[in-house]
Amino acid sequence: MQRFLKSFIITVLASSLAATAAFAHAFLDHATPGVGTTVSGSPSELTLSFTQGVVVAFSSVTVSGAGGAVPASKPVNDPSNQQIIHVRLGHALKPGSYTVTWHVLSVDTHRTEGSYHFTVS
Amino acid sequence: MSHKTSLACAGAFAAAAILAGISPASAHTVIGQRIFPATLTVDDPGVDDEMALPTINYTYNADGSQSYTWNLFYGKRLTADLEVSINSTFLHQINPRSNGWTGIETEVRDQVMVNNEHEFVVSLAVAEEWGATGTAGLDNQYTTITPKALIGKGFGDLQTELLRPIAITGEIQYIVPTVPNVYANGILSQQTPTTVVYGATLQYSLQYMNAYVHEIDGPEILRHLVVDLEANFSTPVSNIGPSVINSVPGTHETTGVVGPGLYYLAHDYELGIYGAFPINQGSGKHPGVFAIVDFFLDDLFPNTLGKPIFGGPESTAFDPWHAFNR
Repeated sequence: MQRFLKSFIITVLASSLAATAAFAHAFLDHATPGVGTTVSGSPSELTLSFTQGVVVAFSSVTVSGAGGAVPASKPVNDPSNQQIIHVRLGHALKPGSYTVTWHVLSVDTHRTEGSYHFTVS
Repeated sequence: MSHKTSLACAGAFAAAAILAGISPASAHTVIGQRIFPATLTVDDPGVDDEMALPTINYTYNADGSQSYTWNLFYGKRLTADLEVSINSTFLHQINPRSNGWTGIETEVRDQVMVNNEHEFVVSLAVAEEWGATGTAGLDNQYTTITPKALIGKGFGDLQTELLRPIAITGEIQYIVPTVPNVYANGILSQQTPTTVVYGATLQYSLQYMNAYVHEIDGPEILRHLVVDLEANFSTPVSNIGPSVINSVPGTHETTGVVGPGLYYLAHDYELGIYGAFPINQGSGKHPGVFAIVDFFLDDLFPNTLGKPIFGGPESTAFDPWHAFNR
């Protein structure tokens, strides 16, 4: 029995390492500029990569800084990956801290939302 | 009943007593940006469509017996805030040897308070462990009724970034047997105490850190981990009966476990492992190990098994922040 328990633990840990991790609720996995990071120079667009496919028609991304809301395009899916969305910025960002707020509908119909900051130096 | 059988049953009851307050399986909960994982010793505070196959516990009991339990759990949302669930546990015990099912437990749970922005949830539940529904000699011959209160709070609303991945959950149960005494052949064989079970977790979510605070460089696995400290205690409060010399655990003794947990939130499922350290001699002789594989049916089958039977997916529970800040 102890052998079974050890085997089970090893199996689940091994499978966890091998798994392609993605929550079925669409949570943010990573972004460019990165969550909480500082970038030198203004990005021309934001890229948000989620843990599950996103329906852009029912999703939104807004950017705001000290000067208020930043004009930005509607999100579009990456042609090669429905989990990734791109948002083009309407103008260059001045140095400062910016907040990205996202609301997305995942392909399995769960709604999730969140926000994060990045800084332009 | 043979002496060997008596010993086996005594050991099994001892194991069952230690594990009685430990929620054998549960559902993960998503409140706003926060995922409360299905933790192993304290039930998570919300509702969901979920199946845990299985939750495994290993304990080295105070009487020298060793117990392995496999719990099977299925939870189904009737509405976005109301869940019914059923679970049962298979016990394999050695020294003395014993095998069988410990009975069927059902629960009705309602999320009574939810605030997504502040990652706050409170649920109330009533569980019934039905008597005589398991293997003869291992299950209770009487039904217990257990009102529960559960709470969860994420701290994503704090200003200090390093504190935002923290969350706490708590649970209190009041386990009431429906009969005060159990008789065998007309002789009192067991007094059935009413017991209060209480526990809490302190969680730190690297998944939350990565998604909302600061991206995590390094292995992908780190972005999906939640680490925590968990504690769960059980205290008999009434109908305890006289103290029995050399009884382990003592008839009036609080038992419990504390220890660290590690949870991996993967695609449609969760893996978890917990090291259970007994708080005293009555709680066990050596540390134990608990593990869980939990499937998120709401994610696996979002349009069939994984959605509420009635109403939409959004909670309509009372929101104290909105109510008091109008």
